[in-house]
Amino acid sequence: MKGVFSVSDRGSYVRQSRAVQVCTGVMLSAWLAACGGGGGSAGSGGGSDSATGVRVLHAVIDGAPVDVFSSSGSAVLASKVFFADSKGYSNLPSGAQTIRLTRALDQGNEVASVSVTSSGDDSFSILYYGSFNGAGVRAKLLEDVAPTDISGAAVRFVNGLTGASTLLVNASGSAGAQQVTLGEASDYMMVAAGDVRLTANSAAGGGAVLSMTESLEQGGAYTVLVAGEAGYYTKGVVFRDR
Amino acid sequence: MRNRLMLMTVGVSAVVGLARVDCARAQDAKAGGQGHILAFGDSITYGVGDGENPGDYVDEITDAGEPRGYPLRLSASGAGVVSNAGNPGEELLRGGMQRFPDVVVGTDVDMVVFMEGVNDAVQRAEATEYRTAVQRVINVARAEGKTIVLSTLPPPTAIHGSLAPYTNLYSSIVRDLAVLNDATVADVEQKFLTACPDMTTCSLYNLPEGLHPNTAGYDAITEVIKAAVGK
Repeated sequence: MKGVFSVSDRGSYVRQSRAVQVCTGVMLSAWLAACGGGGGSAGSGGGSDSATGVRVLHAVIDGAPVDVFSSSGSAVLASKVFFADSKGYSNLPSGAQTIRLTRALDQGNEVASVSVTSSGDDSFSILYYGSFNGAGVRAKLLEDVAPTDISGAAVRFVNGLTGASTLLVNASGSAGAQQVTLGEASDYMMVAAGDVRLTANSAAGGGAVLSMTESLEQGGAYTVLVAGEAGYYTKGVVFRDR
Repeated sequence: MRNRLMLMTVGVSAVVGLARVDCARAQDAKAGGQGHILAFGDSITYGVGDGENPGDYVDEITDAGEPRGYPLRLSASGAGVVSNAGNPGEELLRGGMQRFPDVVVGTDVDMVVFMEGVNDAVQRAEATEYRTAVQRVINVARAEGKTIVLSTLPPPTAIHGSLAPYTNLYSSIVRDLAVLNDATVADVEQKFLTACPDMTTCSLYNLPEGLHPNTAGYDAITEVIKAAVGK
């Protein structure tokens, strides 16, 4: 998959303009330019609720939707979590437990798992990332500890972009860019509420992989999931944190 | 006797020609609420073999001709604008899944009809690889907010009958992924199998070529696709 395109690390927002550049003079690109409809669809708010607990951030480009289970109970915590999406937070029982991600509709087909100890009033994100045709898939537990005193809005990035070992991420109005390695989250950046430009670049080559504008509410904490596969397809999705 | 050879190497001009669309018509159709359908696949989406009648003797196809097939019929039936993004000779694993984002991301396409895999059968592609490739296509479509309809594959026969076990397996994967991803399935394979209890004499195919449907075959495909897209 990698190296298929001459331009690497294309984000869904930058893809259209890059495609026009690369394919100038080709009828297909002319069609894309004329009918493109003004930009990609990345950046839609993900489904999110205000409950405490755990949520899955699905970033596996070739991964089927997953169901989520806890070893502390038999009920499904979340069903059919799709790529570049989340079903919001699910209540999590207190105590130590294993969270299992299984292929949807197939409880016996575990694709990844993480161990977590919940105090009952904390929140977690589980980043599901990697590729079935690459180095495999994995899950990483991330604590959702937003700043307590948010004057404007707080936003962090999660790097789930296969092939992007390190991203340089930034939000307009923040104190500055941060580096975030694959499978990790950046620190929260404090920004003014309102329209905020969110960008991610490959730390290796500097190429843009994501550029999007999102309206962030006063006092809100947000996570930007950067999902997909570098050089193939990148999707940025913003989720409201607890 | 017709002696034509299927175009397995695709030039840029052909690729471009497949995906072209009348933008003004597309926008007009959207304004009228009819939507814009992208037909994505290989030569069977392109319409290779269309125009031949049952009973014609066809053992090879050398000229892909103009794009026809089910996209043209669907468009003519009033289903809205249907763009033919069929790419003759293309494999999903080596070509199709790489091309897919380029014809979907940033476009005004509302719905994608996906049918590809026969050329992967020629390469004996592993089922697990085919599965993840189709899932990849589904994920891109969903993430872009496009409705996706997954079509099973018409089962090759006669000269190409040896491919059928592979396409049958791929079709079962397509059905499974449709359920898993809440997608609509257009079961073209089932339509052919039902219509042709003896595939070796199937009147929906150019025979003995057995890879590309004839006019009757494309009519049958259109019937299934049309029902699946709800037009």
